[in-house]
Amino acid sequence: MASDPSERQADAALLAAYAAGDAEAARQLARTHGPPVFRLARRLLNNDAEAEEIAQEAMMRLWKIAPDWRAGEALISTWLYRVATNLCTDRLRRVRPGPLPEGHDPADESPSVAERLHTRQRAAALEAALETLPDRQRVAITLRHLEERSNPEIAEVMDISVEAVESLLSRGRRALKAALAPAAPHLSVKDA
Amino acid sequence: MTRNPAPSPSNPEDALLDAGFAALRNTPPPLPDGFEQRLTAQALRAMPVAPGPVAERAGLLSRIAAQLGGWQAGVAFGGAAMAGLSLGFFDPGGLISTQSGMFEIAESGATMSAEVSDGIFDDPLAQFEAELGS
Repeated sequence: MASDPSERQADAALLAAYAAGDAEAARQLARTHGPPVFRLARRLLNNDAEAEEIAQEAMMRLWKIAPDWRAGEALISTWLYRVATNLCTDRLRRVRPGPLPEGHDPADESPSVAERLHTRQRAAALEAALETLPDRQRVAITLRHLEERSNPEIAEVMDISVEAVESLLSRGRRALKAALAPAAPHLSVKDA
Repeated sequence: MTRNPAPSPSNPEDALLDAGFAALRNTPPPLPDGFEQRLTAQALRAMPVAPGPVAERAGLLSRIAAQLGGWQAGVAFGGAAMAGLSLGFFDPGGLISTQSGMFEIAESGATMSAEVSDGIFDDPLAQFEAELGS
């Protein structure tokens, strides 16, 4: 885990202050942790309203657990990512007709990705490609490459080993490269 | 929490992918209007203890002190208290001697010197008229 113990202690102190009725602690927690949770949910769900619902639900769980938060056990950010990821995964499973297999290769089945790349909207195209990934690969890739979390933290968020995270990232990257390959000639990296 | 950027890509495919990630990172989804305010309101509603008492309790003494005139008034109160204590503590002999000295002066029937009394009871207007007349 990349975080230092003092960061965990500071988190615990802030939650203790919240539980004791400190309004400023409430404001600080909402300001610091709400936006990242919303961003993660928004990237996983591609929907503002749903992302806000997830953020509100995750934060509500934080408010409820505040009096029982054990100092030094976890970082608030990691804990919230975990809650939000689980909530998003549940929602994605409900929305999709069926989960894609882990080894699914969407390269030849995503013409929309190529079309988007032809318009040189790299970010939008990658977003579309991310949607084709199996849920766990998508979560791991989003946390690693968009939220820039470390592999050990992702392992904690997803409740899996670091090796499993590395495997998900490797397969996810391979699938994304395959998805972007058809349009790669039209897209110079120098344009990035 | 420190950020952990991924290592630099080693081939064109990875470079293309990482350029896409960078583009997405640089355009984070905007927060909905009023998002943070709604979260804060939710936090205050869900608070196990009624919000605000910590800060307001701390301000109670300050408010009382302000009503009494602030820190300057506090210093004045303290000084007055110390003066009162010292008057009660020390031997009042000095005060008695001062008082008796005053009585002695009164009893001695001492009068002001003629020079002083002349100075006090001189009529300045009469002097002015005399100067005009001369």
